[in-house]
Amino acid sequence: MSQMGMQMPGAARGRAPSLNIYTGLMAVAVVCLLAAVVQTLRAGMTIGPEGSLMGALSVHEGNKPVNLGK
Amino acid sequence: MHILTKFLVVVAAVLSVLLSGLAIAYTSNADRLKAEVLAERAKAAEAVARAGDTTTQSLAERESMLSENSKLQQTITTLKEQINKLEGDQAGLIAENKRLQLNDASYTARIDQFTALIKSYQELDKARSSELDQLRTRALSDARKQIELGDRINDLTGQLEVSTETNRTLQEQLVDMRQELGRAREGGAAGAGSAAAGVLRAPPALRATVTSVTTDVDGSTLVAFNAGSTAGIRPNMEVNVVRPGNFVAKVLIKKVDLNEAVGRVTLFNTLSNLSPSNGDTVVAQLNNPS
Repeated sequence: MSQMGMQMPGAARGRAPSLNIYTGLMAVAVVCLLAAVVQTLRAGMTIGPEGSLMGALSVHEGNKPVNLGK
Repeated sequence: MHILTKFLVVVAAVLSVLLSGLAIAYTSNADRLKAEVLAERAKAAEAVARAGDTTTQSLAERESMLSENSKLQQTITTLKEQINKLEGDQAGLIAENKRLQLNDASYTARIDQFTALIKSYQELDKARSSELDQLRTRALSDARKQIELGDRINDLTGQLEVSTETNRTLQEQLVDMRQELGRAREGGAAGAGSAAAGVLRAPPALRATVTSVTTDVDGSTLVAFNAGSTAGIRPNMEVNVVRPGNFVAKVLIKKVDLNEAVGRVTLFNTLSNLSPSNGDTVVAQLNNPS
């Protein structure tokens, strides 16, 4: 229960959290994910319907002609 | 865990979710676009093929139209040449027509002259036909006269023949008479005229030809002629040998065959000194002993 951070009444306080390697790795992962999101967003805007920002998350309808908005 | 780390975790989770959504949408759109591109490519290829076919067909039609055009051009050229030729012929015919019209007048005058000439020839023909009729009439009368003369000649010829026969008969009689006179002067044997006992009369219509004349062993003359029993000849008949216009001899038949007979000459024509020969005529006895 202490691993889960549960504060039980009468439990002693642990040490204060600090920056460690995992934070750095997470930062790197966030940066990479951010870069991937941005790149995928840009590619999605290129081929998505109507070429807009929301078009990157939209899918072309199957029965209608493809409209790239350009 | 530091608050920043938590924040980063949350941000990472959110970004992961977002990235997954974006990736799903992107892949779906990419598939769709790829299918669209392939379909468009197929359509383009089909359109290109159709265009190629259309181009080939158009080229063939163009070639055929060009050839037809050249043929039509040739036809036009030929027709133009024919038109020129016909126009030339037309001009020639017009000139010929004018010349013929000019000749027509002169021919009309000549026809009038010929008509007058024909009338004069018709009158001349009438005169000639009347003259011909006269000549035919004269010819007919001449022919009638000729026929009459011919009949007269035939009559005279018959009379001449009768006279000749009479002359022969008279000569025979004269010879008979002279012989009888000579016998009478000599006081010879009985027997009046040339008719000895048993001598037969030949058929009056007898007319034959002497075929051979020979001399018998006793010196008498034998005469053969081409008439026999079929003509009524019998032995002991007496016939006369004559030559045109003359009595020659008297023959007594001795031997008779079917178509031939042989006799001995009993009397010669001493007046004319004639003797029987081949080709002489044999006739029946014509005289009447008186």
